[in-house]
Amino acid sequence: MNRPNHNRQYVLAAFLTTLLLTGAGCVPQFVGPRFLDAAAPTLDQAVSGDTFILNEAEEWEPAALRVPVGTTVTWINQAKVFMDLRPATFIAPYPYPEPDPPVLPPGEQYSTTYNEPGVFYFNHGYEAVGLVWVVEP
Amino acid sequence: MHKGHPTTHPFKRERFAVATALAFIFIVPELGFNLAWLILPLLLLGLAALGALAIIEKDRTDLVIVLVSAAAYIGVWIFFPEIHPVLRAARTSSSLSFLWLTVTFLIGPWSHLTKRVQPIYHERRHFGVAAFFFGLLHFHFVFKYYFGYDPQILITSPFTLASFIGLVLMSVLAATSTEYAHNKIPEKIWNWIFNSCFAFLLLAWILQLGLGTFAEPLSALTLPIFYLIFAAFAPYGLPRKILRTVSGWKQVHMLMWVIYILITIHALIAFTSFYAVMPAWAAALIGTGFLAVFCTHAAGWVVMLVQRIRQGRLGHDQVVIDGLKYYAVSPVKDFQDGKGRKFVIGGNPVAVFKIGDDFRALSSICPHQAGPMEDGEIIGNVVQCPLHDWQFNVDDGSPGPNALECLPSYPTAVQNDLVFVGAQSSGRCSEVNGHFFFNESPESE
Repeated sequence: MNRPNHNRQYVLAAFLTTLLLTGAGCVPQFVGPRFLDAAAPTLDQAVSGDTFILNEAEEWEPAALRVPVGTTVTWINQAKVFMDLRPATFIAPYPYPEPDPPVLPPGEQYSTTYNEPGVFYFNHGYEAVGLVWVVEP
Repeated sequence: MHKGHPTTHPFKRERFAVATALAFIFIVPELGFNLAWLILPLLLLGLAALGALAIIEKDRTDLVIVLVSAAAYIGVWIFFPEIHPVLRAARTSSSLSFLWLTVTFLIGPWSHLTKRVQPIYHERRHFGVAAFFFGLLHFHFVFKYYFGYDPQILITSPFTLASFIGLVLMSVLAATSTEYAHNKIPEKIWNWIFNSCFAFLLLAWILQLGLGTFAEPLSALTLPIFYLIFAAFAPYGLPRKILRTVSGWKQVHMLMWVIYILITIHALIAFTSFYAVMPAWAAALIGTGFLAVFCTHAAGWVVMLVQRIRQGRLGHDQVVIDGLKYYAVSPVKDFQDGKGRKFVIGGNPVAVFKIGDDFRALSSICPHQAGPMEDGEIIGNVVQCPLHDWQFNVDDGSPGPNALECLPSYPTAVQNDLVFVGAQSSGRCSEVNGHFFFNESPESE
């Protein structure tokens, strides 16, 4: 088949551009703090209480709680979408008290009791990251 | 136009079926949380409407798709009552999309491995379009109930980007899977469609560079993979080197591989994200489908290779007529009128047809997608490939109105109640190394 040669050059250019962009896209994966690491709250932001509220802007109120061992923590969905509560394994692989966290519609809530001390990260969606800091009473 | 594949009124039915499906896909997810109990009845109503259309048109493929899909929705509703109705609908839709995508992929190689699958080869696009529709339904549920119609989420992670690109590519393939598109769209437009897909992919990637979160651990691996795969399927990539003759339609529709890999990546990330540790049943389900697709294609290629090697060793009685060597293939009585049989002449597979008292010999490999021409139907003076209906004149292999290329033909003779086939192609197509090049490729410029 007689193919026009100039098209091959375009394809080669597109291929090399793809390689370049792919390589560039991998850099953030390995270098520097990742976006979600930066978005996660820190321990000094933790406040006392036992309830997280997912507001309409899909942000946690508060973002971090400091609770004594044995506290039952509640997450309330006040957003207009599903509350997709998950362990933030990309920040701290485990432990998480609930292996199969629920997906809850608006108005519903979920509770779990923390019986071991530690720092537990969770998230809803990609940016709403929160933490529970469980301490000895 | 073709017996068994009417193309007159079904086009209207198809448009009606597509409009019905799209209406339900865009309406049902809009019910909201409070009316979520209505989701199942409305989905079943939509499927019932499509099923009724399939029954009216006696379209068994559509009916099977509708019945299996309805059974899946009902089964999930019965056995998983604890899951929210929206989630049940969204997850069942995505599972059905993956199922029909896998089936679409398996039909191709299986139709080469066994004749039993050939009758549904024509219907392959129905499964592909079904995969797109269920994928679109899943997308609508998730886009509304998870992401609140935030478009940025579509490209901010490899998880969503992979599925979004897969869905867009599926929409292109679904829209161009019609017979009209197959037969009427010129080569340059196909190249334009393919390059547009590539440009879209590149644009999405650049946007993700600016907005992406790179949260998933698979992101570093998946992004290079699917961009490299896409580049490999570019118009001058692997397909043209392997298949030699690839029409524009085929080139674009080979993006199925890209879609399948993207959707598999999407499913893998979804499960690892849902469960932190991927459950064994999910890994087995996705792995089985993925392995079935790739292993079946590999098996098909091995079978074809072995057949060619074996057939190349066969010998035939020879006679010389008018200076041309002819090979005996079979007694006349072993042929049925209007039916073809496959033989190998000098290493080349040849389909020999009995038409009345005459015999015609053509290459047994359709230049489109290597369909078995000996299984083709004789309609007047043309033979029609069983896979995609490409038609060729039985006398000289010249292409019919829906075929882009010609088929090598061979002279025949009958002596002593034996059918002989000439060793040299008598048509305008020539042969090289068992593959067929065409002297007047429509793509030549």
